[in-house]
Amino acid sequence: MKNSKETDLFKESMREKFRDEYLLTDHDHDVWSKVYQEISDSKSLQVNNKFKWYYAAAAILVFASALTVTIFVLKQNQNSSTSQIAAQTENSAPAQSPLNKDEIKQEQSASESSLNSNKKAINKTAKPADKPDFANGLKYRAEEKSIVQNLEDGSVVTLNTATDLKKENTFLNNRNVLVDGEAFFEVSSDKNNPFTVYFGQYKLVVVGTKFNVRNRRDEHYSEITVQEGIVKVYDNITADGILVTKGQQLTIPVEGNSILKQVDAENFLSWKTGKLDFRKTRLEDIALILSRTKETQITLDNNVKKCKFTGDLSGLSIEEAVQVIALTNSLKAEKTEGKIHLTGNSCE
Amino acid sequence: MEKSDVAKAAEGDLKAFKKIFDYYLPRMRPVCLRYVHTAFEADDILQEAFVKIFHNIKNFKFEGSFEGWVRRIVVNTALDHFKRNSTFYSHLNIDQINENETESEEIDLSGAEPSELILLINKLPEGYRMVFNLYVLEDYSHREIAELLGISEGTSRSQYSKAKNSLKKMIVGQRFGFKSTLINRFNSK
Repeated sequence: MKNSKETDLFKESMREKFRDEYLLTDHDHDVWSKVYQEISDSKSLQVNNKFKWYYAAAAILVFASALTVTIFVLKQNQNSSTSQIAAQTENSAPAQSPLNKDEIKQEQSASESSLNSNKKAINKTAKPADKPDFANGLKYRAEEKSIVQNLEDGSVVTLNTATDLKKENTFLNNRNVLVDGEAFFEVSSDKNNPFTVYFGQYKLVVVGTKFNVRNRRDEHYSEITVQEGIVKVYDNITADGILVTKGQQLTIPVEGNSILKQVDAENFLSWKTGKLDFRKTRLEDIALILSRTKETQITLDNNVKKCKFTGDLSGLSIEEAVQVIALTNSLKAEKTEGKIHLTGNSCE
Repeated sequence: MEKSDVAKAAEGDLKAFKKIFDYYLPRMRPVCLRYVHTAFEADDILQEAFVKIFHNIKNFKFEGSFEGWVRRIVVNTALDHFKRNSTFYSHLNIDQINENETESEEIDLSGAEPSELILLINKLPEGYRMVFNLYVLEDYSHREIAELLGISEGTSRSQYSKAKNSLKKMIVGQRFGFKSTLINRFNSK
C-alpha cells in the first residue's frame, strides 16, 4: 500500500500547514449585524405567536363571561349589565400581561447585549435628523469590476471598482446611503422624500438628479460632479450647504475650503462610459482623469495647467494619449518610474 | 469555548451566542474562503451558517467537539452555496474516468507558506478543489464526500489524486521556476 501511505504524508503535511488559521476582517461586524437581525427577527416572531395565543385565550374568556353575564342580565335587570362586563374584562386583562411583560423584558435585554438593536433603528425613522445607522443595512461591493445596482426606490447606482455602497435598513422611508469609493447616482425623483448620500464626514441631499461622488480613502479630497439637476452638499463648513448644479464640480479637501468650478461632467464619468472625449478641457482636468483611468500618475508644470485640449483619447494607451496631448500643445513629456510629467510654455 | 456559553446560547441567550460568534468567526472565515472566490461570498455563507448554528445549537449534545460541530455546519453551508452556484456536476461527469496517473515524486512542504498554498489551491479546477478541501483539510472520507457532493466514491478518489498531482506540479514549478506547460496554463488564466 505504498500509494495510500504517500497520500497520508501529503495530507498530513498539508493539514499541518492550515492548523490554527485565524482571520479577522473589517467586515466581521457587518456579518454579526445581519446574523443578529435574522435571529432576533425569528425571536420576535415567536413572541408574536405567544401574544396571539394569549389574546385568543383572553378574548374567549371575555366572550364567555360576557355571554354568561348577558344571559344572567337577560333574566334579571338590564341596567347593571354594562358595568359588569367592564369588570369582567378588567379581570381577564392581568392574566395576559405579566407573561407579555416577561417576553418584552427578554427582548430588551437581548437588544442591550448587542451593539445594534432594532429599537435604535425605529428611533432613527422617527427622527431623520439623527446620524443613520448603516451597520444593519445591506452592503453592495464592487471589487474588480464596476456594477450597476437598482435600488428599491427606482434609483440606479453604478459602483466603480473598489467601492462599497451601504444602504440603511429603513432605506425606503428615508433614502439614506453611504459611499466609500466612487459611484454614479441616477436618483428617481421624489420631492417628499429626499435622497441622502453620506461620504466621509460629509453628506449631500438631492430630490432627483444625476451625479457622481468620489470619496477614495487614499485621496485627500472628496469630489462631487453633477451631470443633471441640483445637489446640495454639506461640507461641515457651510452651514446651509452648497448648491452644485449641472456641469459643476465641488472638491472638498481634507483641510481648507471647498472649491466649486465648471467642468465637463461627462469627462469625469469616463470610468463608467469608457469615453475620453475632451472639448476645450483644461490640462489639469485631463491629467487627473487620465491618472485615474490609466493608473499612471500624470503631473503638470504650473504654467501649463490651464492649457486646453480638444480631442478624443478613448481607447488609447497612456503613452499614446500623452503623446497626442504633448504634440498638440508643444509640450515635453518626461517619464520616470510609472509617472509622467509634462512641461512647456504657458498658453496664456 | 466554555460549555456554559453553549448551554446558555441553546436557551436563546444572545449575549452568550455573541461570544461564540466572536470566537468562531475568525476561525471559520479561512475555512469558508477555501470554498468561494470572494470575501463577499464568504460573508454570505458565514452569515447563513451562524444563523443555522443559533437555531440548532440546542441540538448539540456535547458529544465530540463543539468546534467540529460548528465547522461542519460552515462547510455544509459552503457546499450548499457551491451547489447552487456552480456547474460542478457537469465537470465531474465528463471527468470521472479513472486515469492511470503516474504519481509525481514526494515533495517537502516545510518551506511553503500557507498563503502561497491557498493561492495554488484556488487555482485548481472547482471539482478538484472541493474534493481536495473536504478530503485533506476537513478530513472527510471519500465515502462522506461522495455523499455530500452526490458523486461516486471512485470519482472522489480520482478527483483527489488529480488535485494532488496538479498541486504538486504547481508547487515544484513555483519553487524552481519551471516553465512547464501546466504552470504556463495556470499563469495565463
